[in-house]
Amino acid sequence: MPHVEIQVAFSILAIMKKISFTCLFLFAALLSFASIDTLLVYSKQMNKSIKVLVIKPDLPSANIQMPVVYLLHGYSANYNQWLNEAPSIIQQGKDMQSILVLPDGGYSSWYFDSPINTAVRYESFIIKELVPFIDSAYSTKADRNYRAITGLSMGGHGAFYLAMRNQTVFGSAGSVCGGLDIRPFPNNWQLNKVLGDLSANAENWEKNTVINLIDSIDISNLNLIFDCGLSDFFLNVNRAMHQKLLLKKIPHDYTERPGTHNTAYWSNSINFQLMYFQHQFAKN
Amino acid sequence: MKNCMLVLMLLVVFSLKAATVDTISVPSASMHRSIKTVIIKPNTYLGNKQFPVVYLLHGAFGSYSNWVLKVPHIKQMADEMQMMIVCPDGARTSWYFDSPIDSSFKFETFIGTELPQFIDANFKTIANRKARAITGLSMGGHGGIFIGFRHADTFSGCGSMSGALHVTVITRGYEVEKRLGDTGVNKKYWNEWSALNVIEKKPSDSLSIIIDCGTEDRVMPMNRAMHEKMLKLNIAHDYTERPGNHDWRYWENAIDFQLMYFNMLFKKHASKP
Repeated sequence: MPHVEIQVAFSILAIMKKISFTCLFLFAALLSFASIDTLLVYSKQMNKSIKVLVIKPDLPSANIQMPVVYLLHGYSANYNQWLNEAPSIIQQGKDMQSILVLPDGGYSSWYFDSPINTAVRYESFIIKELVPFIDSAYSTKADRNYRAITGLSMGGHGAFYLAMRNQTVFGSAGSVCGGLDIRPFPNNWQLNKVLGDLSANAENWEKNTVINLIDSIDISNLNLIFDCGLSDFFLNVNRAMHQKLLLKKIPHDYTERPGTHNTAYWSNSINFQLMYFQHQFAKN
Repeated sequence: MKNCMLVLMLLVVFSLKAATVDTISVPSASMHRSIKTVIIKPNTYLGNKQFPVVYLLHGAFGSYSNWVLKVPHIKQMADEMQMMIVCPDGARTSWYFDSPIDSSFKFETFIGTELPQFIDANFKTIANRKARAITGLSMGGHGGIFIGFRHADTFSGCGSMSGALHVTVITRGYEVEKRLGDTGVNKKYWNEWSALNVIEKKPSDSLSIIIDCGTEDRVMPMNRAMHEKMLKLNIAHDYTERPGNHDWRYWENAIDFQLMYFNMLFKKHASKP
């Protein structure tokens, strides 16, 4: 690998000798490069390989350790959703000198270890397998203060769920138009496939929905940011979460803005959330 | 090779060059005096490029230099976002009104009309409402919404941080009475010029609006009232509540999100003129 880099550097130097104008251009391009790796990460927990995108700024020195933001996709989408629908995250990840990790969360896992289906173990995958793998394979700051997780819709619920239950791993969490209370939606988005039917498995739903987690878990050490569009079907559950956190005096950033449950909304919102995480990383 | 290194070093030096800050006196014809104003120009200002402008207002008992002294990193933001930031003086407690009782206070005219004209005439700006926004803190948040709505032909974006958004009820301690006069005699101004009521007149030009406030801030109820009223009137806006009080620790964080919001607005306008 170092060999290849040296060759690239030499060929660029050769061109630079010829035309100085071009050399400026090329060098600027080289300085501003971000690489995207598509990985297959084997999950022992689920006995299958999971696709993961890693967007990494190429820094002048390979020794710089970078914070990491995990971005979770929504229901029926896949690991590619954030990159496809919000390509500006490449530039922003580079500007904030952070690695972005986009794991596949299955069609409808909701990022749970399903209590009714042992083949679905996405919490265990992300916490016990993916995070350690990323820290071993990339030059990361392996510390909760430099690790954030966010996501959209199902991934918003997932990000809050994982961060609240695994606070040694994540110091900051976000939700972009997340379904922060799943109970009003017993027949939607295949939730019953991972939790069972609400009527017969009420406890699974009660103890696994984010809005209830804050009753039993102290989350005062988490930096929280969440938002929702004013025309989104998840607006009410986000408002309920905001009110509940205010009542419990748990600090959090909460935003309502124009928009509905679509690409236009989350490709805008993610810019603000990444800036928020950048601020949290800079505090430490 | 040596030449290349030299060029490279120049490139690096050029890219490290930071924003410049000037304090100038801007003539106000309506007030027959000059108003001190801080101008922040991005590091690429020397070229032929034209820049969008964010007008940034200070709070009560503050001055033109508050923002750049208390939040020096707005200079980096100007570089990163390739925009100018203009911080006019608001005469401690002008509330950015044209006072109906004191003709030496015409700050709505100055900031809504005279200042943008002067800035466009003397600096390399994109002289178009689509590349102009106005925001501020506390009294300046009121000013951002007040002037934004009443001069939507000049500004396409307006914002407020910790805004004292309902002057009708600020009858003592902040010199609103020195600008608007007796609350009984001048009741009309006390009511109609409160930002909370100004929004009832929807401008014909579309406005992008961003409002935020700290959850520990005493002006929080005014901001919630503004959010509720805008929802009721169907006025699209971004609204954020976050931890914090009425202080610079809050504003040095909030300004980053507001500038990002305006930057995205300017970029959207630039791609679809």
